[in-house]
Amino acid sequence: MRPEPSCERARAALSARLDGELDASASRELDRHLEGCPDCRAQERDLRWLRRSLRVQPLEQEVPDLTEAIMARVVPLPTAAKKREVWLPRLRTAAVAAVVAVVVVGASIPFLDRRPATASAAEVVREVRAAAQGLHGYRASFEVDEWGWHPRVPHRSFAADIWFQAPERMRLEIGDLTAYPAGTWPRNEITLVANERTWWLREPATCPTEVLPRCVPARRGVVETRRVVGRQPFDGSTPVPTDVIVPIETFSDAGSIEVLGAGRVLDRDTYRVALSYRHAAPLVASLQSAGTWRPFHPLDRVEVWLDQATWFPLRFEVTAGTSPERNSWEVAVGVDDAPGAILLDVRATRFASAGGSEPGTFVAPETGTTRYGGFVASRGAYPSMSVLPADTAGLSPYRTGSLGRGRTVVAYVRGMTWLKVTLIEERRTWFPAPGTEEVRLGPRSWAYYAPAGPGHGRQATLPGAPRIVAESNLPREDLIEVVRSIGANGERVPSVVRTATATISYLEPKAALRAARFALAPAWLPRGYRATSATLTSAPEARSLTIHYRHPQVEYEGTGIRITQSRPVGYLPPTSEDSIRVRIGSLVARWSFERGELEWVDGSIYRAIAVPSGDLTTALRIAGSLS
Amino acid sequence: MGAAVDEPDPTVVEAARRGDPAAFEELVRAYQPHAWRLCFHLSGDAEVASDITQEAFVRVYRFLPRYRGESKFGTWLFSIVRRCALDELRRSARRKRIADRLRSQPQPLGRASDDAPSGIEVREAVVELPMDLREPVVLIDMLGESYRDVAAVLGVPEGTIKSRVHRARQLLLEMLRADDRERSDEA
Repeated sequence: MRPEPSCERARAALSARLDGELDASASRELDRHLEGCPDCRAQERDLRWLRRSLRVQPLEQEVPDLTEAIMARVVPLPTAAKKREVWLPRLRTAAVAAVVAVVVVGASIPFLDRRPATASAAEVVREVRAAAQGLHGYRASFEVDEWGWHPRVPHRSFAADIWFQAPERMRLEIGDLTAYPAGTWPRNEITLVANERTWWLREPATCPTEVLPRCVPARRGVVETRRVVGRQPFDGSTPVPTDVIVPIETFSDAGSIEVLGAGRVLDRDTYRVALSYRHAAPLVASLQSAGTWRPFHPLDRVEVWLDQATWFPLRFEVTAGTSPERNSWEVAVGVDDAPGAILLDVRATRFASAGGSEPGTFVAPETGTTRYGGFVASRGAYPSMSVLPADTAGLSPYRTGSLGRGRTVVAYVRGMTWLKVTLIEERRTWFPAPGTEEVRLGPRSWAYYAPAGPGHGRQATLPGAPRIVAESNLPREDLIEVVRSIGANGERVPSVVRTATATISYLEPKAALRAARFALAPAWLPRGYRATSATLTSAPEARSLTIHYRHPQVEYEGTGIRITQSRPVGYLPPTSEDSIRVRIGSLVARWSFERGELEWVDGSIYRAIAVPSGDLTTALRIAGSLS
Repeated sequence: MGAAVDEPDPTVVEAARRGDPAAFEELVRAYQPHAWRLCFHLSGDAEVASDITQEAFVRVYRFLPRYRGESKFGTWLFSIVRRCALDELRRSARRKRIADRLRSQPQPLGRASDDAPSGIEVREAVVELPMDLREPVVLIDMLGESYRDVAAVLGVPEGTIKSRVHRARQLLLEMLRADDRERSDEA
């Protein structure tokens, strides 16, 4: 059936837009057509899927090295080894690294000879994502230097080894090479072994007497060993810290990173990228997910060297930031850093996209305190239900099974990229956590979205029976598309709740600001943050509006930024926490370290800004921008 | 990712033109992987791609004295690779081998019947496209080249490339949908 002529035009425009070749007014016209044309909307989805599938082409075999064969045909030479001069040090290929199986991903490396000195931030994000989908195996060694952990141990050094096999097999070994002073210093030796079923961790006991003199360990030099068996696929409570391999969580948002230029590490070309620790936490934390390490301030500066050919981070460095309140933060957490000092330096000494590992690499020992994860895999074909997504973003079925108590898990994977759909049969009404963003999927379908954090990936929930929870390390847009392709509707959570004392309304942030005129909105937020949810509470004595601002992709420091405003309020509620007084314009505010909250009273209006990472500079900047 | 290739030092190209084997070998080392990938995606067959790549570089070596820097070296080299690929693929003997190979390729494991087509099927579908549509979609969508570069290599205007890519995408979607319907009919 031939489509309508307007649809023909629209489809050509869709193709052009996919390539970034459509100007703004044509794009608007296209959107208008799409609003009224489900066929073309379906076409757009299909095109996006097609592009993904074409771009990401993992090769089941190596790219062969035909150089010898070619040279033999072109320049017949005696079979004796020929002396090859080191002619051109600049002209290198990826064959320099000891790569056994080169994984090919649809690349944006042009055969135009001039390689750009830098990539754009958007390119970095895109290519890192693609690299994750094509990664099957990895092996690397790193040297780690850390400064400022403890006044008596100003410098520590470690050797880290990583083995990985997509999607869930990892082995991380960290050896402590530090020469500690006399005393019972815990050696920061860590071994993590994870596979599909089991997760095993050995780390120093969290009671190092030298650092916490009052804690009493059972024995000297004790280590803790923990084990989880029957873990569900991509279990957030037993994480496999893969951002150090391909940093998809760290580089999930182009707005958070700055490409500085090119660099060289291990005689390879790299891109140097800078970002704040607030956004780099997934990468840094992946080597520090166990053991004891020094803390970093959210505004500390992180520089990462990404290999241009594979996008592996070959080096990263954390240096102390210079934000004004860092001094008080240092006192609160017990460190003492000179501004701009290097705090952590991690350098790869060798790496490879490995073809295979020795048997036993990913086999976990059977020791340690054991917890049962409760997952029972089922071996049959994948259930084909309407509650599963029709569009899995190019990911393939991986494992499925049951967690008991009416919970079914269905997981998909491609390289390091994963998607997990959990179906929960449960009678009780589900309420989203504060700060969860309501996303409308269709005329009668809503999803509730939260960004990734330390114990979980990005999540979108469709309330209903069953409740469907999709969790993934796909970017937010792709996850929403996946959830949109689920055949069941997500029921809208009731937006008004009445209790004995108050009425609580969940509103869209703009509507909430209109309803509560005393509330101000910030003109400035950290990069990438935007309003996701608003709660208006009306009680006889006061009205209160709380708005959450979140980063769409990743938050490693808590559940976003929260601004609460209430009236009428006469004075600040008392607090027993440590706090300091801070000026905001002509007003005096209170900053509580532990909560990370800045509070003040402005006339009869109480205003509070909570920045969970305890970063006063950001809180003050937001406060100053309220209007 | 593909081999990231610097602009070759003009003295290297000059030396290779004069017949210096070490200089030519450096050029081969630099460009051969990306060339192989292009051939692989055009032909759908790894062995065929190796044959074509070797043949192409032999031709590059023979024609090198005629390269006078009128275009970028990479563009010049890849237009030769592409010409070789087209020539080889027209030979029916090769085409039959590909068809046999595709028919005998095993089903990927763990697929449910109504699942989205796997990456292998998308690649197979690309090889089914007519060549004038296959080339642009391989270069643009699979190898990530820019419209400008592709227009230079294929020797046609950018607008032509765009419309061919658009038609290729439509055709691929139709082929893959038809495949799905076929499969669910069998199921």
